[in-house]
Amino acid sequence: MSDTDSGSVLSDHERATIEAAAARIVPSDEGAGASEAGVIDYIEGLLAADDVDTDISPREKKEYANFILGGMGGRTEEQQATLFKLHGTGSRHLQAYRDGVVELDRVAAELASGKDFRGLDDAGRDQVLTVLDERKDAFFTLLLTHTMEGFYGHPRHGGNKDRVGWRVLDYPGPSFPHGNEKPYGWYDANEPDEFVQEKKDGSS
Amino acid sequence: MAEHETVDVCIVGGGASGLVAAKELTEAGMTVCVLERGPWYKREDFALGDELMYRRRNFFWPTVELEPRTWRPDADTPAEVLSTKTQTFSNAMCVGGGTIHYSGLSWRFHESDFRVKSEDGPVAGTTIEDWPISYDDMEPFYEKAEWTVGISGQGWSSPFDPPRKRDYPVGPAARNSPGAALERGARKLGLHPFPTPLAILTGDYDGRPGCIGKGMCSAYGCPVGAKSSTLESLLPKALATGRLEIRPLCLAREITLDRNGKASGVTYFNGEGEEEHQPARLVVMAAGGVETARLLLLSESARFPQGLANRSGLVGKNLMFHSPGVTLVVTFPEPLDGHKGTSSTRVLHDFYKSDSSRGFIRGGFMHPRAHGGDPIELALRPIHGKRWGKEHKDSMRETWRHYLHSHCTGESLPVESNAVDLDPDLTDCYGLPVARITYTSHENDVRLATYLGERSREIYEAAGATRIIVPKPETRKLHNHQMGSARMGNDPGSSVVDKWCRSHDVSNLFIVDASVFVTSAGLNPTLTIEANAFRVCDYMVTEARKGNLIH
Repeated sequence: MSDTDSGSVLSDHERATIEAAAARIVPSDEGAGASEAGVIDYIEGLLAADDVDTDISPREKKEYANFILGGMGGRTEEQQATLFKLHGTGSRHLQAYRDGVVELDRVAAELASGKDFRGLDDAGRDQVLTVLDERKDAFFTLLLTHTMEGFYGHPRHGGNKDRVGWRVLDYPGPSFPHGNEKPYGWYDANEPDEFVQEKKDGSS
Repeated sequence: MAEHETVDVCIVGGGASGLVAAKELTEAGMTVCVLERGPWYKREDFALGDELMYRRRNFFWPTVELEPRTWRPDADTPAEVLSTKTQTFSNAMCVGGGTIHYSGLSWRFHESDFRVKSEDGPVAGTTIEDWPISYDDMEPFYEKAEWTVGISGQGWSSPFDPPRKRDYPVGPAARNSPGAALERGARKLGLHPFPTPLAILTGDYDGRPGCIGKGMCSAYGCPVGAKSSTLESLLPKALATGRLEIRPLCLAREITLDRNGKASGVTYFNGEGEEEHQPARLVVMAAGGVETARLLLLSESARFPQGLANRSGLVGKNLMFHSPGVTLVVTFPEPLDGHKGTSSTRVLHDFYKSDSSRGFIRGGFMHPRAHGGDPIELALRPIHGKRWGKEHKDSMRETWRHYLHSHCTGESLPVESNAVDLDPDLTDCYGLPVARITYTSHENDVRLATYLGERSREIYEAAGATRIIVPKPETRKLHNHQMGSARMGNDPGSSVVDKWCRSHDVSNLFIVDASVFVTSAGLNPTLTIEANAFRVCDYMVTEARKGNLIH
């Protein structure tokens, strides 16, 4: 469990190290990066879900599934969050992250005479991450995947705060219930269309 | 074990074919129970626009820890457990099945697709055969499927289509920019793009509204109700009869037999994980090309030591997953804005007709897609130069509004060793052996996939693309098109079901999913699954009325 008072499953050092690494995976530039998007909060949410007992029986699994049965439309935010976590269970990542932080610090110390990962500047941090990337390190791929999920995923899971990840792409986000009007893009606006959409009376 | 009251028909699987059967048989006056292993979602459950939850978690698919499957390329190689990524490239396990999240491409197979051996065979290493039915047998049921399920399109717009008597009930979907980009290139090359027939309404029909172009279409459920899933189009009609009971979260474990060797019902695990038995006068298998075979193999007995309805030894064999890709990623100088509209709106069938001078037989087609709005999916694609950092982020900016992915779908030839059987080493959370898939694409399939990829490249070059990535053919381990594992035929020695999809061995057992396909065609299978299920149900109802089926 946590060695801090924050209720987090990570220690302050672990949290700060993961946050610093994520900030190099999606760096801040003229647009927001992983730091502004709160990717660390997304990751910590996932790891907290991993902390619950996922060794569930078929019966428990069915109970989880039954939870969905009545439809999610009427569920509270909290219930939906629980549902999401249960659906995300089945892989335990917390230990991988703990070991990953140790490894980031170990490689950093090797490359920069005793400093830990957080003690490095951006270039030094990139160098450490490149070492892990090039040797196809499983933790690095996990961190990279979760960072992209936390940056570009739906804000309801704790990352992509204020939709900053979508703003980087000039993406307005999911359009339901409004939908989209034609034209959609440049090509359907400009390329002649010989098949004009006709709405038929479906009653015949 | 709890014993339910006997029904006329127990259907295993509530997806494309299962809900066709539920509607047709209840409307004909039969009492029906559908066992569906997954949950029963409603339209509003698909409203969240959440790539993470719907696409990247186990919303539609069981986790690999609880309900794994395994794969090996051949019988000499140890099987590996399929990854979450592969497992989720499969049909949803929920009421509506794959029709909940499919792109909705709704094809009539071509006339030649029903007589592959006559046209192109035999081919070494394959078991190609003619179907015991022809396009003419299917035509009225294609029309019935199009009008009952609700398919949009423009009849007679493709010069390659098989003959039809009636247009689609609603007009084609609004063209998106990936479709327009395909047209731009294809017309320059003298090819014939046309509007994709889709199980997506474009205007009010049958009490449901038309598409609002919201994106998040392929791989997502439709919160509008415009996608013509069987959940939306057929289930309400079946429920309205008052003769249907649908039981979600119920996993069938065995088809039971009476002492005369006829099916007597289905044993299953209910939502609490407890066993129950549903007695039935008829059993209809509709669990898809992997799980139907698995359940038949699990239902072994002294009478059927090789598995139920398997005197031919062919249950599970001749599995077909379509040709192994390829999926191109293409960028254009002007915005495509692929987060808007339905995914596929224009397709090309110019390369569909079989032509052995190309170095392979059979064919397939190209369908560019609007991505729908999946930035995580794009971020993790290996197309950005670097996987992370400033360069990756800039590539995301440059790509997002400007890319499409273009699928090639082609025929896969049946190979007897491509098969589903029971894994001897691995069980699921119920303690049942999991499906083990043995699959390697035939060389013909690989050549076809490569060919379609290269023709696609030429089209996008002509269209003025700035970047075209054509990957190598994929290793197919699982797919959402699962066909052939209980093929139909006239000879009980070389097929599992007859031309009415009735087991040669068990007279009150029918199979209505794509397991019965003899060959795969190079087209998305769902409309053919549905049309064939309508055809089989028509026969069942006729026979039942004569007193030949239900006594």
